[in-house]
Amino acid sequence: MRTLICAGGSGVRVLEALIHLCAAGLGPKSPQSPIRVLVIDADASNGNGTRVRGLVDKYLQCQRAFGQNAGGLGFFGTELDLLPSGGKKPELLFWSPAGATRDLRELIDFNNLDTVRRDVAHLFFADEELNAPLDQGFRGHPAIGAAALSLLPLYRDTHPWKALAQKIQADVSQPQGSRLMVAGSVFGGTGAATFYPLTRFCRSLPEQNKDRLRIGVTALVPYFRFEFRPTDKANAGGARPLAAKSEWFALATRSAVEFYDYLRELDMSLSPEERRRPERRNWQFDVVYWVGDDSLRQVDFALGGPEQENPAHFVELIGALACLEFFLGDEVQPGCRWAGPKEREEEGLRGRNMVAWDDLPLTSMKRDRLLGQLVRFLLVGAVHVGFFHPLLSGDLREELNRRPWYVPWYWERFCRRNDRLDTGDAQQALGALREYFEGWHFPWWWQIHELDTVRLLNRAALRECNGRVSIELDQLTNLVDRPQGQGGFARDAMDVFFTDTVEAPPDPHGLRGPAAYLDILARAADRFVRREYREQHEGGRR
Amino acid sequence: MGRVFFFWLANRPPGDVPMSDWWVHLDDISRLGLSFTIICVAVGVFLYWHSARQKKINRPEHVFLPYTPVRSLWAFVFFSGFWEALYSWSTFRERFGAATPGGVETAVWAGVEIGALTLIASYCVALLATPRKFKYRLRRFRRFAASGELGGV
Repeated sequence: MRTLICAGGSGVRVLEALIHLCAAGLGPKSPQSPIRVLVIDADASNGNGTRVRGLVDKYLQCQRAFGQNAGGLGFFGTELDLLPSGGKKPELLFWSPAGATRDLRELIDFNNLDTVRRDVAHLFFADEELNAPLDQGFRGHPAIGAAALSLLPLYRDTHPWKALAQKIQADVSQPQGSRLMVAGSVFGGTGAATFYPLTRFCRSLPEQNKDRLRIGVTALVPYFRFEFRPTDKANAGGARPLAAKSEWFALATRSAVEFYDYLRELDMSLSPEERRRPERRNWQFDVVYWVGDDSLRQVDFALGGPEQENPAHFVELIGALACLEFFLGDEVQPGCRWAGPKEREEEGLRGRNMVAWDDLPLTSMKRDRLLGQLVRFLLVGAVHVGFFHPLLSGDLREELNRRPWYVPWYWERFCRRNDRLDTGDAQQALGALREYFEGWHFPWWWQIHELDTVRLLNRAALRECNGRVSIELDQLTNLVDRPQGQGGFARDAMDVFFTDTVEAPPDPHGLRGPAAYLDILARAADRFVRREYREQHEGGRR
Repeated sequence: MGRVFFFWLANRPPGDVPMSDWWVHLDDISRLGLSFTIICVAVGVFLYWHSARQKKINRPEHVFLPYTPVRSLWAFVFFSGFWEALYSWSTFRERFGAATPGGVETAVWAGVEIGALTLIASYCVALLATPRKFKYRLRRFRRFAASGELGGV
């Protein structure tokens, strides 16, 4: 049983990457073991959060229509448990440690403290921190967040913590136990403030079998920067704006690392017997994945709120892979994990830190499987958006209904079996699939590849237009960035894929409607990848 | 062979043509007709196969483009029938004289039969040579054979 708690904007973007990986069939697939997801962020209107909320909605829509292990590849196969309450429609839950309070002063009831306690509070917080509004997060000040999150045990009997506690309690009663991952940045506000108080709180949740709760952390270290520009809103009232500043990120990271190192050192003084008892340990984590990038990406500054919407980054992809490794690995290997890119030897790239497939740090996941699944999924998206959706739902739909045998699989697997793809529900599902790829999945890859150093996919294959991204159909054989001289553009690649849709073996489970359609595309993509991307497969196996 | 091939003409020699000469004529034109059929089926289906392989579906609208490879089959059906008829008419005149009636009628029958035979044989062989992405396109070809419709082929 798996739980992912995302803290702050960076944590939410790791969730975004994880959703895309799960959509590509890389997540857990058993319906009995969904991934529970919870977001901790005081800034509910944050642009990153809004984007991921939309992504989760779209994912769930696609999962309902297509999540039936199409082609045995498990696209959209991971169930998400969003900890819904009271029969509400499931949606991504944002929990704010600030609650309904306006600022830290109100949160700690500063005005009613006695003089001594006020002085102690002033030792930790300046007036501007006490007065900073909390509706846009902790603004790079983890001290505010840590104070708010230290109150977490007070919320134990409220939603969603009560439900989460019950589920974790149920998990640890099973031999396989419970795995809980916390993802966020150590250099910002919310994430840095969350790791320790949250994991300490979660350790207290199981009443028995405490050692069956394994806790991992995906700790993002700086990978982006921005130029601080005080806005009109920040200057309102003439006050000095309280905001995250990227020049502090390195210092904040260092402080955080020193703190966690201190926790480890404290544990050294414990007896071996005490160290085996999680509740006695100061170092609360079974495994920590440290992920960052020394070439900081420039992003637009935003104080918080809807304007704070950073582009996707490969660091978040690596963070999401770390989550999957933690969730899916047979055993949790305790310790800290980090990795760096290997040095490039190719002409023109010597001495540069490039991110290629071989640079993605994996421990239990097979690299060829990762690459294969992602390429298959991209292929399915490309042909759906560029070819089959216009055929099944666009101007050509009537023509296809008149002459359905022109698309042999449509004739055999739909018309002859009295199944349809032109019903309202089916059309809605096909539209959702198109939206998912064009509006979410491809743009996510596009943003990752805006960095010159990323050499995962072939950038020439992606085409951006007004925020929507598609894949050129003549680049289907050329989706992966390859060394020069290997693979390349194929004018008839779509024709080859179309033939694969006709020749792909039928599914043995008798799928119908949109699920049967995705099954056909998935099986065709599988044939296509095995043939056209053979050297990547072999390279991955090496 | 001619008596089997043109069984409805076998016992109806035109004018006062002796039966033995008539059967020799039928044997002659059926032998050549069969050769025409084999050659036209082979060449027609090869061209069909080649043309079908060249035909690509790279855009959604390509799905509904006319299935032009079938034209090579039709061309060779017409070709075999026409040459069979022409050969039949010329050998009839040479063998029995221009004044003997029935030359045109025999030529038409021979052309139609060989054309039909080429059509059926081409269709059967073409089914095997059709790329799987076009596997149902010959429906129109078959339908045309029944209704005389040409549109879309």
